[in-house]
Amino acid sequence: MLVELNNVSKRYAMGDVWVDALKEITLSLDKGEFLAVKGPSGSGKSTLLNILSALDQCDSGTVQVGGVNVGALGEHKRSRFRNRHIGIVFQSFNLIPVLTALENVMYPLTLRGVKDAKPRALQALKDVGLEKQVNQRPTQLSGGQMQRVAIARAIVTRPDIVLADEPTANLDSKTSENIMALIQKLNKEQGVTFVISTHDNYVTSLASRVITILDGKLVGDSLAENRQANKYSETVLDESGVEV
Amino acid sequence: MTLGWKVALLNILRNGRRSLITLAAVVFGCTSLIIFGGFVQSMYDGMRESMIRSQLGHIQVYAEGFDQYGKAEPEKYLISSADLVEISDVIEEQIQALVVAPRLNFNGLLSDGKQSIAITGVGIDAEKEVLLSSAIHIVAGEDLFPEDAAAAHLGEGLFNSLDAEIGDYLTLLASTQDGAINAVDIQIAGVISTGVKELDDRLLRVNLPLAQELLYTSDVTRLVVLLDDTKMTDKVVGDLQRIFQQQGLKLEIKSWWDLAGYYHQVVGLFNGVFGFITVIVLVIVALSISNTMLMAVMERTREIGTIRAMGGTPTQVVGLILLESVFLGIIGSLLGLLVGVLAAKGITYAEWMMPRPPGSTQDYPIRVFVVSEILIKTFVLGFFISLVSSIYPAVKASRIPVVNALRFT
Repeated sequence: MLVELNNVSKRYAMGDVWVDALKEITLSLDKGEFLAVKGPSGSGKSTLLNILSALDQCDSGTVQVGGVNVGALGEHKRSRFRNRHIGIVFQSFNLIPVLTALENVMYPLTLRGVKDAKPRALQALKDVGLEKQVNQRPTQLSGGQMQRVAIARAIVTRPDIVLADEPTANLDSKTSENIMALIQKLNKEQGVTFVISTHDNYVTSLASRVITILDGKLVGDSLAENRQANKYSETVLDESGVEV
Repeated sequence: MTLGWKVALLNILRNGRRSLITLAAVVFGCTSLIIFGGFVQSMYDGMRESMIRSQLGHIQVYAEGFDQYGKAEPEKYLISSADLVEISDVIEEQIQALVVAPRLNFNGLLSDGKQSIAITGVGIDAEKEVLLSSAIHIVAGEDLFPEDAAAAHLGEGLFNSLDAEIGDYLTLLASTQDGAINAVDIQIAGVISTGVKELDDRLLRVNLPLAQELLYTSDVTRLVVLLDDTKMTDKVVGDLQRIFQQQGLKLEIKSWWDLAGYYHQVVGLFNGVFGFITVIVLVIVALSISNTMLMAVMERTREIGTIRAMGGTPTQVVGLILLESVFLGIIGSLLGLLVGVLAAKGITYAEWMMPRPPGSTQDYPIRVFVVSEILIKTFVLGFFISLVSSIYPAVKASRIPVVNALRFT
């Protein structure tokens, strides 16, 4: 298993009121999966992604990514862990405006002093189809191009898993389709594991697995449902409907 | 250039107006320190040279014991006329002195027939004193010449308190070495100003033979040595001590540094004032930089969150903010040095006059020295204060929880 969440809960204080963002979530994820996390706003999707990406810590339960108990890491080690094992794509791209597309993609590599940052970043930009825009600043790029740069930045470190929080929310439908095609391609061709939170049915239709979060609880998992369905389809009944 | 350096440098340009205000604060601070430091240095320099070239010389040589007992019994600790020639020859042969001049000091009363005023008298070699006392200004009358046996120079304050004119004769009374009262007539040849009011109210300078006649002696109190350059003083003092010891001459040597108590007091006072002003300027600059960096951190909270999300450690975030601040400090300090040097030159060129300080009798032009030591100190302070004042914003930025930073709008 690449990712294992065991009874993960998280609470937030909103003023004087405590809100249960996640309630005893148990989930496992294999390498190469393309998981879509769906649910209404405020259901806990982003919190789940924050915990999966080691940006935040759960109040109870355990989170293991690649066999590492992320909750047990200190601030410094968690940063290093994110840099080596996690790629993150943001809804609003979050590119550094003073840097070019190439430099933005190089940045996570330079944070850990990788020597061949430039060729790797160039390759990542080529993988997302932006080899001609390497020297352009974010302000010179379209929304779709900015999100491609963000995806290149997320995959350039060759992470175990890429987490994307509503990556198409700020894009038009055509651009969204292009971005999702790119994600699907990276998933299938390069085996990159993706976890994407979304409201978009189109996105969920492309995922290999979909989980549903409602009020902090895991209320649906397509993988479990498929397994259940498969189990029923494999059952042989006699004429009176009794299992043989 | 690594990306961190590039980000730090380019971030300065992101809010140009705010960076300019911060740079202006650093430039103002550096310029203030350079101008005030250079002005104080010029004041020290002027005061030191004025004291050396009006009263003290660079080095004074006395008979042994003068320092300890000379004030109570000056007549017992004089340099005899026989020794005087030998010592003068030794000094002139062994060191590169501009002038070696004898002086005979005495106290007495000066009378214009109506009143008698206590004076501090000096018998001098008038020819040698032209160079030795070049900082003494003749306010009225003419120079003192050796052939004018009775001629005298009166301090400005002393002259004004007498009912006398240039050319008038006055009576000078003093005790001889035997304790008898002696009197000579002197003629006012000129009125002088040393720049020190207290001294000008009492000073009387006459030719050495007249002073020796008055005191009934052929000895002198001291030999005053003027050098080419004040910086040579310590070395020459050391050389003279060694030479006197080798030749068995029982003499005491004092440098201007040992004798200039007033100078040391003023330097101490102004160093304190300068230190205080430096602290105030640095606090203003530090607050300005700190404020700028806090605003920059606040504006870029989301960006900082992104860097942290990509795996940037808190230490790397601190480094990024400090680097940005250090760039501001370096640019500001370099500009400050440039502006400060230009301002110092401009002020000196303008020759604005400063009102006379307490105890002084002369106005003086503002001169601002460009002192390399002050320039280096200012640059280092500019750099250091930039670094220190951004520590709090940097640490604050590194401690924002990543999730909160990413949500920041």
